[in-house]
Amino acid sequence: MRTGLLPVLLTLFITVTALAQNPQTIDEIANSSQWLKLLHYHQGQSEVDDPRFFAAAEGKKSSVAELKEILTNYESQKYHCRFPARLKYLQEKMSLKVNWQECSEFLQWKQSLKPESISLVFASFYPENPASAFGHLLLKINQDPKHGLLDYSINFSAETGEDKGVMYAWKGLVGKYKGIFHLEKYYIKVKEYKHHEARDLWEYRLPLDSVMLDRFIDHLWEILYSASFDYYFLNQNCSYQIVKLLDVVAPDDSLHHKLLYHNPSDDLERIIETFKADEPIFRPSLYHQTKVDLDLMSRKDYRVLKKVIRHRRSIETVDEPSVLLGVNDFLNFKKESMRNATEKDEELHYKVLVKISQSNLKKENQDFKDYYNPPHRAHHSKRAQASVIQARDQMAYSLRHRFALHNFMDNDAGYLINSNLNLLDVEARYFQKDNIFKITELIFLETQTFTPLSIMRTKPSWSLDFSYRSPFELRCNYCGLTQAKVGRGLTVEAIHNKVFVWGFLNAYTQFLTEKQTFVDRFRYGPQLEMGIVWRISHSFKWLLKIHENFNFVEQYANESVIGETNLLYSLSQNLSFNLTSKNVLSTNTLQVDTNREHQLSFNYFY
Amino acid sequence: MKFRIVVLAVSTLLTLNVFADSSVGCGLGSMIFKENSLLSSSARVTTNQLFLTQYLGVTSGTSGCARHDIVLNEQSHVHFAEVNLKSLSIEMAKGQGEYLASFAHTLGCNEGATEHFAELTRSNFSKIFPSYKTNAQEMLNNLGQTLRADSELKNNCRKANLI
Repeated sequence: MRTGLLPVLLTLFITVTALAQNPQTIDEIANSSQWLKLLHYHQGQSEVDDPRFFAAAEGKKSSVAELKEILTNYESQKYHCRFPARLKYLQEKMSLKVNWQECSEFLQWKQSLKPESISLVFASFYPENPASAFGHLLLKINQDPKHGLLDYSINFSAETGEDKGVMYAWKGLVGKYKGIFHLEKYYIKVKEYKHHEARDLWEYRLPLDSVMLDRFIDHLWEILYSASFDYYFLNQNCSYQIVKLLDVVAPDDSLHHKLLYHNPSDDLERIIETFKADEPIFRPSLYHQTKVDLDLMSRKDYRVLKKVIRHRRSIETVDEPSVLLGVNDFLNFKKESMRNATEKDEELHYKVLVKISQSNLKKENQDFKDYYNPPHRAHHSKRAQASVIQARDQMAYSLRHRFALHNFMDNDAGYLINSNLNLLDVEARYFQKDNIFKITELIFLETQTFTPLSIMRTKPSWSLDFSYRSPFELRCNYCGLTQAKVGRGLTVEAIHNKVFVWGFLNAYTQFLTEKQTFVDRFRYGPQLEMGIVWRISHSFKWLLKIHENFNFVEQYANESVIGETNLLYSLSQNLSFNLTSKNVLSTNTLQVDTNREHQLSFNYFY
Repeated sequence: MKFRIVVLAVSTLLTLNVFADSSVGCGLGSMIFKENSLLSSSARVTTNQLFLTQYLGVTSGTSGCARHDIVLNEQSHVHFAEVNLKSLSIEMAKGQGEYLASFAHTLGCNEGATEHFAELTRSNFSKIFPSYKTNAQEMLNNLGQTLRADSELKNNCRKANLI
C-alpha cells in the first residue's frame, strides 16, 4: 500500500511544485502560439467540437485549464498516450518525465506509418461535378518513394449522408455537417479522384525536418483519435483544415489566417511557399492518360478502334498494337470514369488483355506535356478590374470585382482550359458625358463548361447564368435586366488544345427593371450562341462569339445578333489585360449599326 | 428588388456544392461503386464488408467508423488486390506498371525480383485471370499457385506460400 502511494504522491508533489514555482510560465505556455495551434484555437476557443479532444472539461474554451489538467494528471490518466504532441511540447518547456513505453497502441500505430516525409496533394478542378469545381486538398504520408501508391493519405471531409441539392448546400453553408479526418491507403484516394472522377493529382513534397515530422505525426494521432469539426463549405472546408493541421509544424505564424472563404488553389500556393515545397509529381487523370494514347493514333487505327468498342468488329481480327492498347485504355476509362461499361464491354476488355499478354506489347512512356498544368501556376481567385470604355456615344470608366474563380478568357495556367466559373462579379461604370454612375452588372453565378465531344466525353457542354446586366442589344446605357439562363451545347476541338468551336442553345428568362408593367418587363425565349476560341498559349487568347435572342414576347421579337471579340494577354500570373469589342448586327437590315462598345481592361488577381 | 434577393439566395445556395469534397463517410465506405463488389455501396451494409475490414488494424473509432485504418502488413496484398483488381489485370497483361510493382512489394518480393514477377504474370495471364469474372480472391489463389511453381519467386517473394 505504502509502495503504491509513494509514486502518486511524488508525481503530485512534482507537478504542484512546478505549478507553484512558475505560475507565469503556465500562463505563457498556455497562451503560446504553439499550444494554441495544437488545440486548434481561434479567437479564444477551439474549433474542435468533440469533447474527447480535450483533457479538461473546459479545454475547449480555456487553454490554461487544459494545460493544468494535463500537467496534473497526465500520469494517472495516460494523457501522454492520447495527446503525445501536447506532452512532448510540455516536455520541451518544463522537463517533464514521461514514460512513452506505456503507449503501446500509439507507438505501434506510429511504427506502422514509417513516415519519411509529407506531401500536399491537390486534386484538380472538375467543373462537370460542382462538388469538385474548386479542387481539393489532402495530405500524404510518404513511406517509400518507389511505391507511392502504398503511402497513407490524410483527408478531411464532411459526413453528409444522403443529402442533396438545396438541403446539402444549406447545411454546408451553416455548418450543420460534421467534418473529420481520415487516414487510409493512398491508392484508395487515387482510385477515387484519378479514376472515378478523372481528376489530375499533383503531389508537392513538403521538406519537414525529423523533429517537425515527428510532431506532425504525433498531432495526427490526436486529431484522428477524437477531433470533429463543424464543416462550413466556405471557410472551414478541407482546405482550411489542411492549413490548420500543417500550421502545427509551420516555420512561423504566417500560414494560417482565417479568411472569408478558403479556396484550395489559393491555400495550396500559401502552403508551398511557407514550406518551400518541391516541384510536384504529376499523376495524370485516367482521362488524360487515355486521351494521350488516343490522340497519337493514326486515323485508320482510330476508325478500327471505334468499330471494336462499338462491337461492330471482332477483336480477333485486330493485331495492331496501338489499337489493342487504345481499346484497353478506352474500356478501362469507360468502366472506371464513365461508369457505364456493360458486361459485353467487360468480356471484350478481357479478350483484349489476353491478346496484349500474348503479344508481349510493351508500352512506351507517355508524354503529358500538353496536360502538364500545375495548380501552383494558377492566378489567384479574386479579381479586380479597371477599364476604359467607348460606350456608344461617350467614354465610360469602370471598376469591377469578382469574388471567384476563373473566366474562360483569363490566363488558364493551373486551371482547366475552357471552363468558366464566375461567382459574385460586380461592375460599376461612370459615364462621362452624362455624369452618371451606375452598377451595370452583377453576376451572382455564371458557369459554363466547354468539354469537347469525343468517345470519352459524350455529355453535352452546359451553362448556367443568374445575373443582373445592362442588355447591350437594347441600346441603352442605363437600363438593366435580371436574367436566369440555362443551356446545353456542343464543343468541338478543331485543333488539338488550340482551337475550340462551340454552339449553345440556351433558354432564358429576363425581367427589365425600367419598364412599368409586368408584361412589359418580361422577356423569355431561346438564345443561340456560337463561338470560337484560339488558345495561342495559356496567356494569349482570342475569342469570337455571337448570340441572338429569339424572344417569344412580340414587342421584343425583332432582335439583333450581338457579336463580341475578346483578346487576352497576360503579363504575369496575376496581371493581364483584355481588349473587348461588341457590335450589333441588325437582322432586318443585315448591317452593323452604331450600337458599339470597345473596352480595354486591366486585371489584377489576388 | 425582392426578386433579385431571391435569385441571389438561390444561386448562392446552389453553388455551395462546389466547396465540399464529394467524399462522404470514411475509409473504404466512402468509395461509391455502382457495381456489386465487396466495396460497393450496396454491399456496405452486408456481411461481405467484413472480408475487408478484418484486414484493417482498427485501433479506435467513433460512431462505428474507424478513423485510422492501418492495413495489417500480412494482409496488405489482399487489400491492395481487392481495391485495384482492374488496374492489376491490365498491368499483368502488359507485364509492367506501377500497380504491379507495388503489388509485388505487398507480396514481400525483393526489388530485384520485381521484373521477373511482372514477366511471370504476363506469361501466365490467362491462368491467373481465367475469365473476365475472376475476382480478387480467385486471382490471388491462381497467382499463389503460379508463384510457388517458380523457384526464383518462391524464394524471393515472402508471401508466396501464404496466398
